[in-house]
Amino acid sequence: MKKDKHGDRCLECGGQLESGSYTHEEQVGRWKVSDGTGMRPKCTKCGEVSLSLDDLEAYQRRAARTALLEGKLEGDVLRYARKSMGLTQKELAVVLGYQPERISKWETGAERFDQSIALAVAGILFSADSKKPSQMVAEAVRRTEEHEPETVHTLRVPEPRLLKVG
Amino acid sequence: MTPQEVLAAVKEALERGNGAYALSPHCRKQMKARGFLAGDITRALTGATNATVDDEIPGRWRISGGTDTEEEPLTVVIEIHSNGHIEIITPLK
Repeated sequence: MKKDKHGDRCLECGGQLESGSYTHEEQVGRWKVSDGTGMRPKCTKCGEVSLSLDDLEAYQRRAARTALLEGKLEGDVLRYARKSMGLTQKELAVVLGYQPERISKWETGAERFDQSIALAVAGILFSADSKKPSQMVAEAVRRTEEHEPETVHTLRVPEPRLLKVG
Repeated sequence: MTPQEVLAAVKEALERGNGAYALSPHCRKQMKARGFLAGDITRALTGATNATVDDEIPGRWRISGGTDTEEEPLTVVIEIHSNGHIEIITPLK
């Protein structure tokens, strides 16, 4: 086990960390998305910023959400959004209620997806801030099952009758 | 630590969240170069089933058995620090 006390020292050079301003940038497909500037622990020696896995996940989800809400309806953006949530194509398909093949076609650009899909994925990205992807998939499966009852209800149409008029 | 203890620590840290996993700048560069997002790392760690010790670097472990968001096997190299924090060194295909 390492004796370095993570949190106080830079993981790159071992320098002292101090709070400093930082603007995170992510490449989402062909778009560069800048996050708002905030304060983060920064190395006084090499200038590297200390980030946790949670921090990076949050930055990447926000970047994906921004790109989708800005109307960047491109396959690479959709793929980035899915990956930022830690979902496979199959899982995103379950959450959105589509076939996995459709997600693949959207991501590769073989088919275009519209604004309603972008908004749905952006909505999932909002949910992903508070829920684990596995939780989202489980909820989507439950919703699907609730809408597909095992019993089939039959509607009876009355027999047609001729009515005398006048 | 035994492999079982390491695996348990990895899962516990995932549950805890709140910055339990530190990403070195080197790791962030490697992730960008190989097209991995944080979601891939989280997914691989969540599904991990094995921890094997790195004989060359004390405290370094290879966490394997999990898959990334493309459903491909992904091994994550980590180091466990004395305060319980876990540093992600690099993702390995």
